[in-house]
Amino acid sequence: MNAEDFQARTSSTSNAPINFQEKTFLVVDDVASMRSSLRNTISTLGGTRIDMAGNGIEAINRLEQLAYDIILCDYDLGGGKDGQQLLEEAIRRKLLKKSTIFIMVTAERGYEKVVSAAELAPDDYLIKPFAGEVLRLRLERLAQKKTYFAPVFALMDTQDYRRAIQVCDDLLNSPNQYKIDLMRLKAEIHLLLGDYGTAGELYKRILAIREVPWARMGLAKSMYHQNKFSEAANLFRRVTENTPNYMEAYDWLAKSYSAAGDEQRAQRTLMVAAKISPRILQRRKTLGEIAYRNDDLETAQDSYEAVLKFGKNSALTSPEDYANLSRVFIDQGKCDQAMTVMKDARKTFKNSPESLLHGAVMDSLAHQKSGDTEAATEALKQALEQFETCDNKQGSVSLDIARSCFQLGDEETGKKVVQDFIQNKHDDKKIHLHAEDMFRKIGLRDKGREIITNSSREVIALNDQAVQMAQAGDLRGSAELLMQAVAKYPENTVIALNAVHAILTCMQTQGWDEEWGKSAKKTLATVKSRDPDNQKYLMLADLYKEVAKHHGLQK
Amino acid sequence: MTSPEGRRHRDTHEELDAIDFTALFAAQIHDLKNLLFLLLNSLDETLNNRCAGSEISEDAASRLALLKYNGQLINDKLIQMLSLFRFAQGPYVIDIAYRPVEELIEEVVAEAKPLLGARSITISSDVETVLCGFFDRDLAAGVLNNAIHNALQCAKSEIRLSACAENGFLAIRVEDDGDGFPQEILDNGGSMKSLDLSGGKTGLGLYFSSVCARLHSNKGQTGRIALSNGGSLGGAVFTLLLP
Repeated sequence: MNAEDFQARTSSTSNAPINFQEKTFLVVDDVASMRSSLRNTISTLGGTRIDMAGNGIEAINRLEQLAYDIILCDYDLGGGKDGQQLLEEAIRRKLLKKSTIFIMVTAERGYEKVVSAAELAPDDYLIKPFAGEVLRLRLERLAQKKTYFAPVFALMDTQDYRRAIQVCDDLLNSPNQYKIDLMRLKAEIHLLLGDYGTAGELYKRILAIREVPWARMGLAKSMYHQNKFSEAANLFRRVTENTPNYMEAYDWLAKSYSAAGDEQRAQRTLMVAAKISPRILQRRKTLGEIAYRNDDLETAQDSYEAVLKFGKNSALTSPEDYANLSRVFIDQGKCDQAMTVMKDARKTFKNSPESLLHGAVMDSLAHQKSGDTEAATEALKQALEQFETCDNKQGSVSLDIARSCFQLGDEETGKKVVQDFIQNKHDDKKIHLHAEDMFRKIGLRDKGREIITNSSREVIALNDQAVQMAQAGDLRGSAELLMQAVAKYPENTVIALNAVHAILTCMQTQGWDEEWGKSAKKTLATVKSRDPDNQKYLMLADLYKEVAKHHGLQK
Repeated sequence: MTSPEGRRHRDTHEELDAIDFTALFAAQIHDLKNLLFLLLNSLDETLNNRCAGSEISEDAASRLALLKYNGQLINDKLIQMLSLFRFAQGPYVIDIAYRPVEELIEEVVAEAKPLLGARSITISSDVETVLCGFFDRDLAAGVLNNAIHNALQCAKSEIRLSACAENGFLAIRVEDDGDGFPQEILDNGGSMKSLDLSGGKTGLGLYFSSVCARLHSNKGQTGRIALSNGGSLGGAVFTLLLP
């Protein structure tokens, strides 16, 4: 394939007219005259069902009432949410239909700088001023494109990835204007399926046609997933050098450095990224974590404060973010500030169980630091009570509790909490790193390592035993053992998925079993609720369908 | 310099010194574009109302079209200034995507049609419906809009847009049946030399076009613009060449 092919013919691009009178429009702009101007433009196209919103909150309210067909949203909405944050919230809360066309309107191209790299991008953007006729042309083409890709996205929605790839291949057989989009989509599906080699090859083919940054990103990701971290880092670095506004590349570059054990470079990379686009919360959280592990408390404080500041108008912060900042204050000896932060957390989250839990444990640590053992013990007692009953104890709260226990001399409880924490994620390197760091910070490095290693060893041993049984041909025994492990470590995703894998492999050869089929389905659903993008989960959900179909079952 | 007036003068001067003028100008251009959007939209509205039957004379309508044309020229200038400013600030990243060329041409023609008003100029386009290429849509549209607006000034009766693949380049032409480019522009158009800030015409448009073209590069090849006279209509021929 050479470049000539790609400057060549495609099937006709003639537009299908849209009946705008049938369509529902939402115009979002903070300036009233701009809103009415946009309304006029829409009227000239024949649109009549037009609603308006003056800010992000109003827009979300509108979207909760009606799934609009076409949304024109100004990027700059004055204070509060901007257009991109509005789009992200709408997508996360599933307020948009698959067929909804979302167009970002901006006065300047600069908008792309913020967004070109965002994962959740609008369907298109328009730069003011634009003629009504141009809006019509854009809308027609976008509708056409949505229709063209609809079958692939429908299959992806039902996680039928193999067939989605087949449909891409079919579409690629006839020359068309979406050729590059199709190749990209196909490569992304291979990445989702964990078929990194094939994905990498596809990206290389695209790069042979043209150096496009997303293709180099894709190739780098495929390297990363094959544990080739330094090659991946080189590729990601190249993307950041060629396209400094491609923000996702910094995140992956930092991830690659971390994976290769170079936490200092990871931190520096994220600091560069945070400077370019300061409002991305997840990146700031990650930077806070890495800086905290690197004992750079100043950067950690800075990052966590930014998370709370920029997250204020969105539903994207949790009590854990407050605890993260509080922890930094404690290590800095600023105990009053540490407790004030948690007071804010309880207030912001209206005393939710999660906020009470985080609040109690951070209070206990702050009291210890300021030398008030009695108050610390009392707060820890409360924290442990909350810990028993709170369903939502993700993240660092276990380690904070353990730290408090160890420091107050209750080693037994501390050890148990760490054990559960590790065993539910025994192969997650990041969790190990966090735990090791906690022990290092309280001067128990060696003891901590021992606890961590022993905890994960128990799970690994069980898993290995199951693998050996399977290799020896005892598929049924292997599956049974793993199902017992699921009962013992209910939150361990790896064990859950291995169990499902074992069951499916067993049923592939030995026939469908109603009970097992149910367990597999239930376990998959649990994993999905916890980690919907988990690659092995996606692969197994696919396999489940295949096995069920093979045995003549529809679902 | 101790008189109250002198001090006041100095204070004002210090205050003005503290302003970051490059940022200020960029922000103001941004606002100007918003205002132009409102202005052009209400012009559209007035023109559309005429079609819907309200009473506006032919004469008024063609004056409105002229108003709109001048508004578009202001917008061209603003885009050029703002873009060159952003390029200079760097690093500037362009958004190259694989797109049908026909879409681009269709859009710039749609933008240009209302500018004709009562003038008897036709704009036609000749693009293979299936031609696709890699380019930055906004930059390419900015370049073509500028070329069309120049052609509108010179054309007698016709402007023609065409696109084709040529030696590994995507070539997009804007031709008119006017008197053609003067020799001086043929010699220097698009280069820094053509930037004459003291004269009435600055040549900024062509310079901007040539910068936009150069921002497109692929496998060692770089984009450029070409100016010539003659062509299929016997007037000026502006060509945007993208690798």
